[in-house]
Amino acid sequence: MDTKSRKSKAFKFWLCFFLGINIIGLCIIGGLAVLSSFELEMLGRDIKETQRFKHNMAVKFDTLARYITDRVETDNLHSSATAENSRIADMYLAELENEGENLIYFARNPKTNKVITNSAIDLGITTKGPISLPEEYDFYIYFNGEKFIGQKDGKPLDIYTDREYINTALRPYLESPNDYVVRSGDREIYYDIQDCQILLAVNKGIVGNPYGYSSLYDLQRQAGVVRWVLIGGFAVFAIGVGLLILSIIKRRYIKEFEYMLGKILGKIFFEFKVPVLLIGSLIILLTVQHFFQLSLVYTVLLAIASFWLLYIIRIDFRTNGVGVFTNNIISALIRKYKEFENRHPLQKALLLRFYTLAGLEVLLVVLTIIFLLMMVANREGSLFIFSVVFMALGVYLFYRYLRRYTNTVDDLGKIIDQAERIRQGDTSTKLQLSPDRDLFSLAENLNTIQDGITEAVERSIKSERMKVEFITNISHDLKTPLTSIISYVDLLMKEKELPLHVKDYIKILAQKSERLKILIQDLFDLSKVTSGEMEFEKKPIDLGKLIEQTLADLDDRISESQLKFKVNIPNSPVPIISDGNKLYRVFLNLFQNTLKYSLAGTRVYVDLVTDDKKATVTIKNIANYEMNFNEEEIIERFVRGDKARSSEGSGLGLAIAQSFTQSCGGDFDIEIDGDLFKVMLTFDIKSHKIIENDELK
Amino acid sequence: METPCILVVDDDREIVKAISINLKNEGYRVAEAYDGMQALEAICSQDIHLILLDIMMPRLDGLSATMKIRQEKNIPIIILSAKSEDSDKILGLSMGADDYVTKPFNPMELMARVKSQLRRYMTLGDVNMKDKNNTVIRTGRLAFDTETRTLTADGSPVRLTATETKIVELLMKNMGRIFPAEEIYERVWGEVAYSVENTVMVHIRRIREKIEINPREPEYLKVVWGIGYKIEKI
Repeated sequence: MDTKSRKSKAFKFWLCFFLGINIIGLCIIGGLAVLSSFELEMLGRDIKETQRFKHNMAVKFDTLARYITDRVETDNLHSSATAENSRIADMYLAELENEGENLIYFARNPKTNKVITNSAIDLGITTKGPISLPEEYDFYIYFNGEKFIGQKDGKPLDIYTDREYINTALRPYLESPNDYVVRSGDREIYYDIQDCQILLAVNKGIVGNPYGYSSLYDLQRQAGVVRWVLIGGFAVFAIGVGLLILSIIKRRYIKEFEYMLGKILGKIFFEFKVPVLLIGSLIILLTVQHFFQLSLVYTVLLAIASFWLLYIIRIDFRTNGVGVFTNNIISALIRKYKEFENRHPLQKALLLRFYTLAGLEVLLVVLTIIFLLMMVANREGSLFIFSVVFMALGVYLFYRYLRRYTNTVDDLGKIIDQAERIRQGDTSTKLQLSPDRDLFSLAENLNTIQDGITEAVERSIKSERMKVEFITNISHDLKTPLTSIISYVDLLMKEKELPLHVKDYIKILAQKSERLKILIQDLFDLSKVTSGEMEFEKKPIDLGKLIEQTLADLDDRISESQLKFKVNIPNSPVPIISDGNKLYRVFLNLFQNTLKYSLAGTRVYVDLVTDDKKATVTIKNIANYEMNFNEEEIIERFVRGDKARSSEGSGLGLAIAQSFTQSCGGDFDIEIDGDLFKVMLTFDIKSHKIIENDELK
Repeated sequence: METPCILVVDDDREIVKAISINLKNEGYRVAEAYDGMQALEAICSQDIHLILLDIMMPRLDGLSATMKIRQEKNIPIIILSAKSEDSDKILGLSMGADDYVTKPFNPMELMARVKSQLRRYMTLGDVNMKDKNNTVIRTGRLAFDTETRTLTADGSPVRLTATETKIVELLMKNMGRIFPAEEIYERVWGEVAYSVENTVMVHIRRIREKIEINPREPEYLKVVWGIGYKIEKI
């Protein structure tokens, strides 16, 4: 899923959460408001049993009573008042008229013989006997001149269930009239309705009157509205709960959005958050303190607002942690300064930093003093706060500078150590500095150099390996034809019928092919040892014995030569750790060289000298030719193609001797002094009894 | 006894031809093959007594061929290879080859090795008979009878002087152990050793010339450089 749709998804689910909480909160207010109002009694009940309906009927009864008794307010006994009174009475009557079929009314005063009714039929009210109403009228209240009767569906009816009454006409005729109190705001007025008959009957079905206002119909309609409001309220509440549940199920997304929100919050400076926080906390505190004095709506709205405030604070702290405090204007300024600093080379940046700090410190000290002086001059204590703030800022900046300086010095030490490590050949240990450090780029450069070295070493190892492989293949390819040459030369040598000069030619062929064979093997060995591919089996051996053995091995050739070997080897063993076979090869090559290139009749000196730590072998001879080359060149002689190259051997003898010696753990030196040729080999003495104890077994 | 038949296997036909000429001059019958598969076919179709086998060959290389042959037959195999590393030799011998000769080889040395292997192969029964006495010390193609104090190489007696016999006896009886020159001198000559390296070495070299096929690259009587001398246990 791509991040964009994921983000929008996170936002959508969070919106569910947000709306859910708000809706639930608001529904709680609404619910409480509905609960607190009397309209609730209209819910789910017959409208005719509600108190409002009964009150309505009582008012209507009063209207009839007032009309029938021609009651005049006692304190307004003059003609205009009478006229006004009768006008109001007519208006009320018109209201009754507007009810139409919904209502039957009847009133008669026997004293004045005044009758008022909307009923065409005789209701049997003439006598004091029971009344006869049409069947569809299930509700009536009736005063027969002596007694009040209220009935609904043939059952007696208590018209003042809330024990409050609004009119006075009926009170004297109710059972235990003193139980009732005057409804607040109403004036108590008496109507003398003794001997009058008053009837109000309501139809089963209340219908609207298209030509006038029916208060009964309006009541009924209101009841319906309350029902729908409640149903709607519950539905909205359910939606709110549903949204909340959905958001809880998908809280992974909510968390994501909260994290994004937290990131955004993290960018806001601490200084801006503080006032919001303070005001918010204050409001919450006041709300809690005055909880019972405030109206319900305010309380709940504040509760919701507090909830979101706490929620945001929580997210901020959870996402940014200490960052909430550290992301302030000062640190932002320091960051900006760092960006500015980064555009300069390090040495300049360090100086710049020092100057900036010095400048700022001076400025802050001056400001502190100014405010202190102002405080003293104006006797204004509150200015002291500014002094403290500037002073604290100065100390803080100095602390920051000092910390950074210490870190840089520390890092410098680490980098010096690292450079030393690299010098010693450690290319794997990396120096990791955090990117905001001054010396970060220097450390990174060192790491890059290390990588470069590692890469170069790997490449050279690889190329060496390829070289060895190449030489192995080449030597194989050279050996195969050489095998045929040697074999056929050998066959030729066995031929008896050949002329003498041809036999000479064949002899030369045999010699040269033999030399070629040695040359190939030596070349192969040399390339192997110089590339470090040759294996050395290092064991404790006696260097003196090895030289003696080598000389004994060459005894025939030595005694044949006209040279005198002066050998000086100590009687006690000279223990070293080395590869005997390879060292034999070294001394063999050296002695062969001596035999080849020494001036006839001269002495060859072979000395083995030891001290506590080193054993040195020196071979000295007088050359039988002019050595017009220096010490390095003689080893590379084969490459240079010197005139002193011999006709036998590979010419690689010295090079092999040097490489083998070094790989065996020794030093190899050559000195040329006129005609004196001197080879020196030095080995570490490893004192051991192992030769006697282990190796001889 | 019938004339032994030797199979020469190498992808280089000239080398095969040269070896064949040399072998025929020595009086052997020769079969030729130019890769491993042909070699296996030749072994199945003919009675072969010894195989000279190159390693780097098309179709089936010498090492694989050696393994295949060893699964069925006990014919001596001498590997001929341009690979001269010790590790190559060890690999070849561990695959079941009896000898390993590096190219370029000396034809005379190769003939000597062929002869040696054939003699051991043909006289194997006799050798086993002798072994029952428990008086014979054996290593590779060498056998020293402690009772008669005689040394045989490939079954044929080696003529040694009294001193040489003593040296061989000492080294054979302690096969694999390294003796410094001084110890050999003291035990053989019975005198205090002083600067005896040359003396001992001269005798060692003489013995080598009598028992080794190529005295310059000895297989049995070896110098352990910087320590002493020993006879290798093979």
